[in-house]
This record gives sequence, C-alpha cells and structure tokens, in this order.
Amino acid sequence: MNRRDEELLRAFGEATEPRDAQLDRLRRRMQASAPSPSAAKALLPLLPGPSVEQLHSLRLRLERSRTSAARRPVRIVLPTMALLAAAAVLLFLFWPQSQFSPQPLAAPSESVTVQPMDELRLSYVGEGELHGTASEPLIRWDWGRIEVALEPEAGIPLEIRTPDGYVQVVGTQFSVDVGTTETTVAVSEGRVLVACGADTALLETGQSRTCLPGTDARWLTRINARYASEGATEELLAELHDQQPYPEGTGYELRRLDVELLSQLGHFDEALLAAEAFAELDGPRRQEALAGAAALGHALHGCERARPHLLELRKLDQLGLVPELTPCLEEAP
Amino acid sequence: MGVFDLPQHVVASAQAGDPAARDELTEACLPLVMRWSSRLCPSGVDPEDVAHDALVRALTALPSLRDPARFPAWLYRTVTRTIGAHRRRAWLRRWVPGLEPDEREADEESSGPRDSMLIQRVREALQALPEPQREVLVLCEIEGYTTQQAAELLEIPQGTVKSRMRLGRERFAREAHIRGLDHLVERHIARRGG
Repeated sequence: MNRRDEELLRAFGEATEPRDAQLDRLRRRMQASAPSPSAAKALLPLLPGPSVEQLHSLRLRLERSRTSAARRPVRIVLPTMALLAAAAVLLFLFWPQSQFSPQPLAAPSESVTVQPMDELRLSYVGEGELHGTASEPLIRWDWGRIEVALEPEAGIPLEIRTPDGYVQVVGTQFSVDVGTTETTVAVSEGRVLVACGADTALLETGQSRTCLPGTDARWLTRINARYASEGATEELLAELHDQQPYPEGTGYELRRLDVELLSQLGHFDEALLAAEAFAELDGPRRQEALAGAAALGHALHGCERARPHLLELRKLDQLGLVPELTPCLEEAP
Repeated sequence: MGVFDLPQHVVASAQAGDPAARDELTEACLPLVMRWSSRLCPSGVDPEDVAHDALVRALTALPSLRDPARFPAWLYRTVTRTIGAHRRRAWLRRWVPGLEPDEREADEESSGPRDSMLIQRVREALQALPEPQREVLVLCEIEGYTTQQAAELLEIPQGTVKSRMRLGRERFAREAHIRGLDHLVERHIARRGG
C-alpha cells in the first residue's frame, strides 16, 4: 500500500476511534436497555396490575369484537388492499436505480475492450469515466477514441459527454473521437443524437459530425494546435478573431497569439494596435507584451511610438528585454 | 482487551445467565463494537445507535451461540448484520416522507464532531469498495488484525483474506484518486507536520 493510502487510512482510524464520552454514553444506554432477566424479575412485582374493572372492560371489548368480526373484513381489508396497491405503485415508480460506482476508463496507449453490462460493449484508447445506472449509463469521455456497441432491443438510453458536446443514443454502434482540436462522432449502425452546444443533429448510419470546442480552454488548445501544424494563416486568424471579445481565462494567451499571427501575416499596423492594447493589461507576462509593443512601434513609427512602452519597461526593471531600443530613452526631451 | 482475548469461560457463564459475566462481557465488547461500527457504517447511519443495537442483539441471542470459541466471529457478524439493518432504515428515511432522521443524529455532542472533508471522503472511498474488500481493509489496515485473525473473524480462508486485501488496496487507491484525496492528504500531512 502506498504512503498516501496508508496516511488516509491512518487518519480515518484516528478520527473514528471511539471517544471516552461516547463509550460512557453507550454504557449508560446499555444499562438502561440491556435484557437482564434478574432486573426484570425484580421489577415485575413493583408494576401495577390490572384492576377488576379493567379486566371486565377488556372482556366486554373482546365480546364486541367477536360479534362484529363478520363485517370487519369489508371495512378493513379493502382500504388496506388499496393502500398496499398504492404503496406497490409508488415503490415501482421510485425504486432507486442501482448506481454504477464511477468506473475509470483509461487506456493511454493500447485499445481496451470492456463490457460493463450485457447490452453494452466499449472499446477505447484514451481516458474517461463510466457513471450513471444500469438502465441509464453515462460516459464522460475526456480524450481519445471510444467505440460503442449498444443492443438496440435493450432500450437503454446511453449518453456520452465530451468536452465539446454530448451524444445520446438508444441501441446502435458508433464511435466518438475527442482530439486536440475537435470531437468527431461517426455512426456505423443505428441513429445517434449529437449536440454541440445548443446545436443538435440526428445522425443516421454512415454519417458523422464534428463538434468544435465547447470550452474556452479547448478553443485555446485548438488554435495552438492548428498554429503548430499549419503555421500562420488567414483562416486561423479569422477563427481566432471569432473568439473576440476574448474570454477572461484564456484571453491573455489569445491576445499574444493575435499579435503574433498579425505580424507574421504582415498586418503590422493592426499588430501594433493589438500589441498596445495587450500591453495595457495587467498579466503575468506583461513585460513581454510591452517589449513587443515597443519593438513594433519603433519599427513602424520610430522612437516616439516606442517610448511610452520603454518607460513602463524601465519601471518594471525589464529594459534588458529590448536593449537595442534603450537609446530611444536617451533621446527623450 | 481485544476480541481474541476474551476468556471463553466468561462467554460460557454469560450464556448460562450469570449477570456478572454478562456485565464483564458487555464491558469488554463495548469499545470493540463501537470501533467496528464507526469504521464500517456508511454516512447517514449513526454508529452509536448501531453499536447499541448490536450489543443488545448479541446479549439477547447469546444463549443460542453453540460454540463459545466462535464468539469473536459471531459478534462481528452480529455487528455487520445490524449495520445492514440500519442502512436499510436510513434508506427508508430518505425515501418515505414523514420519517425524519432521529433528533439525536443532528446532536453534535452525541455523535461527535462532524467528519472533516478528508475523513468524509475516505469514508466515501471505503464505502465505494465491495463489502468483502472493505471489511478486510478495515480489519487489517485500520484495526491492525493479522490476516489470520481477520480470516477467523470473517470465517473465510486466509488466502481469501489476502486476495481481498490486494484487490481492496488497488480499488481504494483508485477511489481515493477519483475523490481528489491526493491533494487533501498532502495538506493533511503538511498541517500535521506544522
């Protein structure tokens, strides 16, 4: 057992060790309720017995019960049966489904095939997790390819959630491929409902559909991956600009890419404006933005445009990033 | 005193109805039963109630125990059966309107301070294990019983205990990882160290 698990079980053992107060309370409860024959015998004579009137009254009640016994089944049995039937219906409706305990599906390099239930077979390379119940299984698929075969007659609604959308299906064969840049769903047999954000489509046998990223982080990953493989293109720049206004979490990285793509594609004036807007923002790599804006400003319009950024860099003690531009500060009036 | 240290003559005398022996047996079993209840009960079940019911059941059914030497395993089975009954009752309380949880359950003084997030998650991870693996893990890793003692308590072969332990450890490691216990335990160790 590894050190983490040992530590966890040790902490659990310490926390669940009975405390003295707890044991004392349990002792008192046991004294009050333990079945002790000798104590019961000692107490019996002290208990008040029934009086003659009470016994007489009890006999009368028994007599009345016997005489009315013939009618009782009609009065009592019917409502009881109705109540039992209602309870059976309620139990049927609200009987809890057996929950799967979350089952990791992880095969980083080689394909793995599992059959979590008779009607469902999964083959995958990648990572995800199986949740839900036997009658409504749910798969969260994080990355990689998963092939699903679900018995059409079983009538089991299966749902697969990916970072970019989800897939709903009742009995079919299909695959889901979560890549770096997008998610692709391909149907081999049957019909599958695919939802990419609010946009849903019903796919028939042989059809496939691609979902673009569903989160800001996935968009950044996609753009970075495309930039790495395709280089700077107008198409990539247009896709990047579709993300404007840039979201808070990934905006810093997207702005940096924006300046870089504009410069590489030769849109220098736009690149300068983007770099200056970028340099206005506080962020972990602001000095790089300032250096970029200073360099672009100097290249396009000379020292005058670069100077405000250089002054900022001097405040941050980061003039070393653009040593060739320091003469611009000496020329300052 | 451990469950294996209970003198057999005390069990036999308690079976015969000797009040002093029953008291001695109750006193010896009480911390043990409380510990087992605390560690095996799922959330939502009061271990103290379980311990109380299990002890009452055990004392009531004691005369039916044929071999006093089997008392430890018999007592352990009584506790696990009582936990099962309480779990079903807790489930019913959740589903049937009008059946409210006991007032005592909310009473912090009676049930002890609420579990910290770490302990709560460890309990969840343990509860996610199949019952046979959970029992072996609790008995051997937390209670400190040897595999032979656990085998005696559970009335199964020692080899079965070992294989359940191996599977239980692997499964517990996965369940702990899923519940983000890696970070929590680091913080816990750091806090303890400080």
